Amino acid sequence: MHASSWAYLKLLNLCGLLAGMAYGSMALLVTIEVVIRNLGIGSLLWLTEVIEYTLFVATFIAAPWVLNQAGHVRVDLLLLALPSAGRRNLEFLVDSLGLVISLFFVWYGVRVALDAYDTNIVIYNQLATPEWWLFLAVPFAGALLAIEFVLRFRRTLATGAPEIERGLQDGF
Amino acid sequence: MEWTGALLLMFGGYIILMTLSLPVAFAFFGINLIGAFVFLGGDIGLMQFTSNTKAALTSITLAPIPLFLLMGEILFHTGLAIRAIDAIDRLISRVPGRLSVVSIAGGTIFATLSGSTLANAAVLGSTLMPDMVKRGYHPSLAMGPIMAVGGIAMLIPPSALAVLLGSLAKIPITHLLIAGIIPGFLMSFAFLAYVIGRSAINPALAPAYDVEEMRSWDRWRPFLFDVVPLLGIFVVVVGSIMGGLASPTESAALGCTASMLASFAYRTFTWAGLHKALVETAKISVMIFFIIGASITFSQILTFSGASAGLLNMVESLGASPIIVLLGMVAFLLVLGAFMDQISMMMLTIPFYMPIAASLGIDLLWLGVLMLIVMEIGLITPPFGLILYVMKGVAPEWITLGQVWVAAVPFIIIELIVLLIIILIPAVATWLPRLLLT
Repeated sequence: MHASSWAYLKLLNLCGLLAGMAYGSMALLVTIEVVIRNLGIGSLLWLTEVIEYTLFVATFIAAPWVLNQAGHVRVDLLLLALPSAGRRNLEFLVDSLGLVISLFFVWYGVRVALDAYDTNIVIYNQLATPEWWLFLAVPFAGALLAIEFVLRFRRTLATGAPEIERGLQDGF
Repeated sequence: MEWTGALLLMFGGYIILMTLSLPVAFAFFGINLIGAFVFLGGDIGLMQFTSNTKAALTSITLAPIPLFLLMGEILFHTGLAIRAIDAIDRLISRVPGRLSVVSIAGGTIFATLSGSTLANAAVLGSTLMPDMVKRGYHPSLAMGPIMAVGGIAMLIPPSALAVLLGSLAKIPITHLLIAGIIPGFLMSFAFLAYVIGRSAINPALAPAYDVEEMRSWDRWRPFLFDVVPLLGIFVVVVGSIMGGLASPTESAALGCTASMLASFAYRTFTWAGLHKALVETAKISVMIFFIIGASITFSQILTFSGASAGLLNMVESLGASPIIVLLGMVAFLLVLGAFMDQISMMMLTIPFYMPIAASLGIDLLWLGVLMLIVMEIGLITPPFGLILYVMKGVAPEWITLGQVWVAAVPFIIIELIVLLIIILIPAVATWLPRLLLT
């Protein structure tokens, strides 16, 4: 495997693991909060805020990894019904649409983050969080999603009509 | 643009993108980009859309979703869930359709521990299905109960889907979680009655076999040691919510901690299991949340374009009674359920259903439970119900998708009957939460 694709896959997997660890830490910290609050020792007042930010940031950071794992639920009946040439064309179309949407995330994510930076928006609660920190997750996700769609496009080009990846084990 | 045009653009556009096999999240984002550009003022609308994704996700009400999923994944990947099902398998001896009964009882117990329908179906499918096939069970009695009981996880707390519905539809989550308990158990009993009845009438469907003779203590011991303590987790989660001691997020976190402690106590904890549980939780949660990121903009576009108000006016001008409107809403969801996933169903209908229900004085809690049941039915409704494909994935090769579909039909009918009961007697769902929480 090429060094850059190795590093890219490592990065994606790291993003997925980070999201998982974030959820695990949420469980641990909320439990600690409940215990110390009920014992009257104290309270983690900042926790709700941090959880809210985590839900947003983790989603965007790990979305490209989920795409790589074919974990984004999709209805693939048309794909299944088509002959291989049609399937290949449809995959090209889907990957192109995905790429366009991802590039929107990069462009508008950067602009919204810059906007928040320029106007110096800070969310004051228990913590003071500059809003642009959070928005950086959007272009980051957009860029990796765009790369992922390009790679899918190339894979379809190289292998013809690809095997359909099913993400069916994923859901509630 | 007329509101009907806006409605057509948003709904039709989404359906086209979804049918093209674009992942659901991207289909929503794609149609939102177009909608935001057209209805929210071009470039500024697209900026708004981007910042809305943050507003949609930075909500503490969504926090129980990954935590409930994590709890089920911990129990699954540390092997505790399978151990509990084995214990139930031992406990149930001579009864017609024994293994089908085991799958329903085991599935219901796992439902009290897990927030995930598909994990439930996958656990039962992989543990019990091979045995049933080996013993000559008819595919309908082998696969049907496993698929159907998977959906009970959606009703009995902890339920990640109930949290999501409550959060999106602004129905109190605690109430919705508790409202699912009686309908969930009712459904479980109805499934049991059907399986036992059908196997008693036609024993060839589920051939009886000699269960290993054992002393009653040997039969009960695994149940007492492997199942009863796990029910303590259910008590921690549901009890802390019911008693008003904890918010849904807190109870879900306590459930995760209790599951971890259980895995230590049973010495089944492994780092590999924890890693797997965390990664699987992340995969499902991120998939769900990425779709939810589009939710605020989607309903904003429907409001700004006048589509929500237009449809609301149209429904009001029909002069139909609330119950007819409710039946219409349920019927529409049933149709959607056969073609799309649950999150898409909620995203498309909630922006309309909630204002319509509120204006007609329909009890939102009641509607919420009905929606959960309909979504559960959608999961096993041919052609596209997700659980049908999970089942096809874990079933032996020779089983066709057609057989999987046929196996689901009797259970769909039972679920429709339960749905009807709750439509006729709303108290089945709403009595318990009102009793405990008001």
